[in-house]
Amino acid sequence: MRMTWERGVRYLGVLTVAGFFITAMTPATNVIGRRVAVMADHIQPADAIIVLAAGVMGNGALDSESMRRAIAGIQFYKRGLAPILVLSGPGRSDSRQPTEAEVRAELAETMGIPPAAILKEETAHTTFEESIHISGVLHQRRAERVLLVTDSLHMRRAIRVFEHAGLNVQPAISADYPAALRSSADRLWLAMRIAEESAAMLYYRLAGYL
Amino acid sequence: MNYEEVIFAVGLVIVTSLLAYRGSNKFRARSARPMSAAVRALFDWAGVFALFFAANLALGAVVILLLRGITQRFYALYGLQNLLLLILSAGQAFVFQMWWRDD
Repeated sequence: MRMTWERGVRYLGVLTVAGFFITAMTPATNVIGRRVAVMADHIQPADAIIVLAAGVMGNGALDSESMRRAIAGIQFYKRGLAPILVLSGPGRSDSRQPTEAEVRAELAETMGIPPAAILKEETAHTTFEESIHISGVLHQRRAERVLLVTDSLHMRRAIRVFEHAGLNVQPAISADYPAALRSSADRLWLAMRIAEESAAMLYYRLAGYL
Repeated sequence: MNYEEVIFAVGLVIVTSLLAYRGSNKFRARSARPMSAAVRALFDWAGVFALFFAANLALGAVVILLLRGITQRFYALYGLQNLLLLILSAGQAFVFQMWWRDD
């Protein structure tokens, strides 16, 4: 029993060390990432642009992914691809700073987007909740075709839940990490994101969200 | 691809390993274990680390989902994206491995 355990642990250790080196030092992570990621084709005009939440820091500043998504959404609006810009993102429970959606709305207004074109979703904490809340508001406005703005790894799950909520979704990528990341540290982060997104996909399937 | 970065990092480790080997070899205790045993210990530690890290992640996910169900407050699964958990799991594996093995 003891020998079996020790042998098993050693094999697992060899796999762990080998996996670490392959993940950090070869393009294997990028190749797997490209399979998980969804890329956008030519983007067609839609009824609304939905910018999914990514997080706000304790001092009220958008985190880098949130900023990337917000800027991409603002660019799509400025290109005239849709008349409505939905900015999503709750506040932090440990902070009295404005919500992520409020900070993004302020940024959008500063960049010349009329306040009347902006819809804020400030209560959803998960992609599934975002799909329910936002689709409800958009259905009332008869907006069915949407551009969904998020990063390429999150996009597959996001498309599935928003389509499940009755919207006609076009992916609009804010960042494509599998194509962009090359350093060892970045690849380890990418591997973690792929694992996270795969686990989230499995959870959404088990929970019946997809 | 950034091969220079990989070659640089691996090169540094090889140089300091050789220096440490040359510098400390004559001061080693006679009963000290051979290099092959040290490499085996690394793999054993890595295996135990993988198990503890997976167990900590799984338990963390269960606790967060339970808290979401029991309380009104939202707890994000992204809370498991925590460098401290990785480091603590590594330390946990090291202590367990030293305690478990006999040599």
